[in-house]
Amino acid sequence: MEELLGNMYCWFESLFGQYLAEHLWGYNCQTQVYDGRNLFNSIGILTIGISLVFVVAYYYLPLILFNHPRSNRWWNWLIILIIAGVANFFLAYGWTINDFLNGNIGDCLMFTRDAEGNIVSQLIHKNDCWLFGLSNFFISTIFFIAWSVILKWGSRNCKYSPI
Amino acid sequence: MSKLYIFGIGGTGARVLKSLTMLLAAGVDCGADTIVPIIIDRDMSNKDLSRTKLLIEDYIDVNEIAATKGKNKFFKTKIELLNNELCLQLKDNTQKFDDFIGKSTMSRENQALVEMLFSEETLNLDMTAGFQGNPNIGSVVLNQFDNNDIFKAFATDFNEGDKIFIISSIFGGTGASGFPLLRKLLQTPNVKGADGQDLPNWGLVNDALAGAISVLPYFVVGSASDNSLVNSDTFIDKSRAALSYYKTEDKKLDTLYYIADKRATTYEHHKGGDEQKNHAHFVELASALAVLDFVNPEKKNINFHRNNERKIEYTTYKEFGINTDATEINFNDLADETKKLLINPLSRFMLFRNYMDKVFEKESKYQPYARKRFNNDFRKKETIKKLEAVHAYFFNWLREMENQNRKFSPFNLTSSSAFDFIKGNVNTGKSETFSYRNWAKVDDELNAQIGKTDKALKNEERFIELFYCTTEKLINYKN
Repeated sequence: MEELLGNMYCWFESLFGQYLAEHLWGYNCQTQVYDGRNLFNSIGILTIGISLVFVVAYYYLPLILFNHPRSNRWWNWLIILIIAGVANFFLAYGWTINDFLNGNIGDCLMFTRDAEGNIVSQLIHKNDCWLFGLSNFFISTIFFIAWSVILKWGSRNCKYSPI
Repeated sequence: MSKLYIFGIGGTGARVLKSLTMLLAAGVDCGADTIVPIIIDRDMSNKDLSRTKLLIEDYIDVNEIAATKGKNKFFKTKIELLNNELCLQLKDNTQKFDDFIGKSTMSRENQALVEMLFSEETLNLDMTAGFQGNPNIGSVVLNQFDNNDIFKAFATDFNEGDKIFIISSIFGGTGASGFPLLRKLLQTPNVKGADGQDLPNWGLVNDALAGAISVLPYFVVGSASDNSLVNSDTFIDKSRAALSYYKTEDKKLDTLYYIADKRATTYEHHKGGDEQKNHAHFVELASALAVLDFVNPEKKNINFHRNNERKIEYTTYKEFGINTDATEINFNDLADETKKLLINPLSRFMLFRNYMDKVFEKESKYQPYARKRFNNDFRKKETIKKLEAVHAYFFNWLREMENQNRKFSPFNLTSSSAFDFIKGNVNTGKSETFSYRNWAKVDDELNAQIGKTDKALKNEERFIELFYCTTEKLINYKN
């Protein structure tokens, strides 16, 4: 179960790369085992939570755009899904770029070095953080859909949105 | 299961019945379970009558789908027709009055007597358009009520506890002459039908609680463009003459209502037929309220005074009044009792009509209350089409009352708002909230109420029940 979220993120590993994935799994360059914090779980749980908040708001909060008789069109649901996805995109990007800029990613995952310790190549780029954000957008979408299927039936005004 | 048999005589009778049907459609409380309307008119082609007939036929169809198990009051009171006919068709179709009385076959002396009693114009009158304000010929021609299948059906259908009410005008021809004749016939013992047999249950009819409204002048007609004998200059004199005769009706009816309006509207002059289409008037609505007052169980001790032998001890006389002599009446101008009776039902029905007219088509695709129930072809169902036809009649009825000299204008008919359509300072409760405004509030309430309606109801029944419960929640006037 601990690896469930990580495995889901790894569906998109080709986007953000193996080395960033290793960092997120909690790989420790010094001990060469996965004894660090599993960031997939941390980011994943927050992503699930944020999706849940948006879904609950959409189906139950009596405000325009949310549980409102004029917001029960599929495109309104899609707008909320995108907003939740964008929030989660920046969550994932922010988390990883923070690690990237603050040197929290293990050196063995960041660079390939020669025998003298010179950097031969960089393994993780800023771009990978953006792409991990995009992956989290997709994960967010999956959970948003799942929460919608579960929670929509109790909604007064939006129970048949999106379908 | 008490029934109220209502005889509507002449054009006014038909128009008051129309107003009564509108009130019942809106769900105004009625003390009778079933209303049986019978229209008596010689002029079967007059537009007032045909409009009332169409409305009542549609009402009957909608009543079939009006849920009676739940809270619904729209179309709740049953309207039943005798032999499936609204009109008591007089069998004699003689067109001219002198042919009707057989003047040509009379002796010379009798012909001379007839010429003394009736003018040449009257004798040559074409009665297919009614009696054109001539009660003297009406009282002769209408003396054939009992010789009629509907009358037999009426007697056969009559049960212990049923009541009778007669609506007529006093200033025209048909109503003024028909009312005393009909009253007398209903209280004559052992009346025989066309087949020569005693009419069944006639004893019950004789003893039944009976009321009537006599409508005094409330409109005038312009000058005649044809050979019509209708002349509104004579309305007051005719009323006076009739009233002096009606004195003899004391203790023959349990309750007698009078109504009039000095601020008369001038109608176009039509002697009758297809062109006689008078706009609805507040007086007709108030007259319809008299019918409801008569059957109101709370008024039993005021309306009926019978001794142990079921004889009338005295007749209760009633009139209708408004708080101020306003040219434009809205709910504020009505007395508290009338407000209590009318504001909620009329406003709720108006909200229902407005929603169907302005919002339903667009929103039924999206709103949960309509999903898989009231969308797609739901609106094409016959009963729903008829419901919407009654909505249209209701709206026109209000619009017509607004176009009179004495306007009854309780609603802003051009308003596109869900809640601001009620005129005057009428507090119907706060419906809108910060989150849900205007029609969104109505949809929100429909979506909330659908789960509270009985799932066992048929789809169309559930639809009316849903709209009643929703409008009841949104509009709740308390005195």
